[in-house]
Amino acid sequence: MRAPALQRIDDAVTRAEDVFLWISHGVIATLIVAAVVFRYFLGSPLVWTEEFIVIAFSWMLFIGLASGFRERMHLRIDALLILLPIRARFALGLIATTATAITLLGLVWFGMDQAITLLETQTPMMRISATWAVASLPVGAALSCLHIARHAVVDGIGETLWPPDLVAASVDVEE
Amino acid sequence: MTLLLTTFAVLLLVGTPIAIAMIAASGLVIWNEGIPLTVVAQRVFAGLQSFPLLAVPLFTLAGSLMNESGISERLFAFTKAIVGHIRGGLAQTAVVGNVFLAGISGSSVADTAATTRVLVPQLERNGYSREFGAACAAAAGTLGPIIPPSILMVLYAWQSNVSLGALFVAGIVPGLVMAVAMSLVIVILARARGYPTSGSFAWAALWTAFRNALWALLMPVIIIVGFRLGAVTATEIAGVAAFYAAFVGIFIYRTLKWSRLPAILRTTARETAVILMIAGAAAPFSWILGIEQAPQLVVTAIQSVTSEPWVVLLILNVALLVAGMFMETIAIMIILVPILVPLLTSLHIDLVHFGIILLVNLVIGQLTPPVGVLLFVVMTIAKVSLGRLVREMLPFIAGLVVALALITYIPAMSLMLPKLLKF
Repeated sequence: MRAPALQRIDDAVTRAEDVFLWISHGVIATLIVAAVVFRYFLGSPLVWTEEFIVIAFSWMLFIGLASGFRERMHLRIDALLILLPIRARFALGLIATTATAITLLGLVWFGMDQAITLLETQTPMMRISATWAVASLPVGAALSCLHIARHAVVDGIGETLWPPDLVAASVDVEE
Repeated sequence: MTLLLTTFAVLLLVGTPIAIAMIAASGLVIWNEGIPLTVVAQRVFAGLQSFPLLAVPLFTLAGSLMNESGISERLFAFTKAIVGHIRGGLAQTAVVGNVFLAGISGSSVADTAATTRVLVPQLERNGYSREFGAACAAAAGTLGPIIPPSILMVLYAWQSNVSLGALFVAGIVPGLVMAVAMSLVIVILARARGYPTSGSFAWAALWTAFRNALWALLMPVIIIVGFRLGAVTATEIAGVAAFYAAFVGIFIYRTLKWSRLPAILRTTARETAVILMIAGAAAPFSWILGIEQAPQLVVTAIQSVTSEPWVVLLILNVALLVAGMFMETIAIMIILVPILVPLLTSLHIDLVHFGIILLVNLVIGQLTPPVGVLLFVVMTIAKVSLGRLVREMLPFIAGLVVALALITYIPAMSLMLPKLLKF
């Protein structure tokens, strides 16, 4: 199936995620070194950095969660899958994809619940709403659902979570 | 606990991502017990709200920046100048080169991939079989998580609450013991098979190769000195290491282009998310295991068999080696460490020492089918078959098991250096 609208939306989200990931990682690395420089060389510690970095880190991880589904690189046990013919993977793919989708939708729902609950709670240093941090979980899970839907519709259930060549993928995943 | 473990095992077998399998199994148990499911989301999120965990992406970034700068070629040229002249010297280059490479990267997969790409074609041109070259690269890659810096050590220190600096330093001697074991295997095979030497020794060539690799060789020194001074946190040391790697690549070696930085940052951020999502997913999973008193059950079960630390370590080594054959490294560590820590503490087994034992077991597991990730790395890059690769791998696995036995039963190998350096 082609589903061009879904593919276009998914591609646009993927590009946005890619940009977000490198910028957030770059900002985190820079701020960590800046905190050391300000503390030891300029004698003026940046007290807000640790809290800001942890919030940025949460966003980097949960957007990375979604990006991992887009790239089908989440760590899994391939032992049984490798032994099975590609056709037989459909049945397992159906169970795995359904379980993954339900779990992610649960994270969206209960993550939103938590984010709404913490709306009025302020962080200790920056005095901003704790929802800024917590919202990363439902957002990342929702984007993951989008990527899974794209793979399921465009590539088929047998290739939603895993690529056809599992052996080659084990290298791409972790390199 | 049966529902938790059965659901988890079934979801893993059908190919569900490990993190999702843990969250789904935890969710099912929590729902079954009538506890609000929001707890799962809360625990996953809270499990990742940790400043020390930031060392994972930053050490990964430092390793990637160094690799992108072509440091592996420089390090292998340096080690070839040291050991190339002995019989089987080019194969020894894989092992000795990985001792240095491990001091820069914290990942066995990255090191194995770099070694396979650089050295296996050279080994084949020099009369070694491609399968032997691939086996050397995979075996040598196991040094990555043992010699600091190490992503697995960051995770273990975070889980078991031990000093990361002590753990880093504790890995140095065991890493060298593993390297010696692999070198001896190569010496024996090189003599039996008549492998050639690779050039003659020359001080001038060694000096040139050393100067070319010096900036990279300084990185592990900076990391250890940073820990020893104690003025900065592990995360900050990782940040400094990443900046140092970028500085060396861009301004000293001039092989790292600014235009490559976004791709490197993006890839390492994604890799980190994939790894740490398992750590986040383990939070509700471990919470349930704790409520179900799994750690106490393990303590009781083991102590009903024996309370001799050496026997317990033997049992754990066998269990970990078997687990390593079937499970993914990070998943084993994240699931087992919270369960094992009470047992180890009750037997007065040092947690730093056990951390090294655990990691050596897990990296050996990366060399064994059916899920040995390093086998798949070399199979794909070097284009060798699993059967022939495993045959060449067996002597290296035997050598590493001997090294594991030494590391397990001579705690001073791990603990002497941290004591000497006052960690």
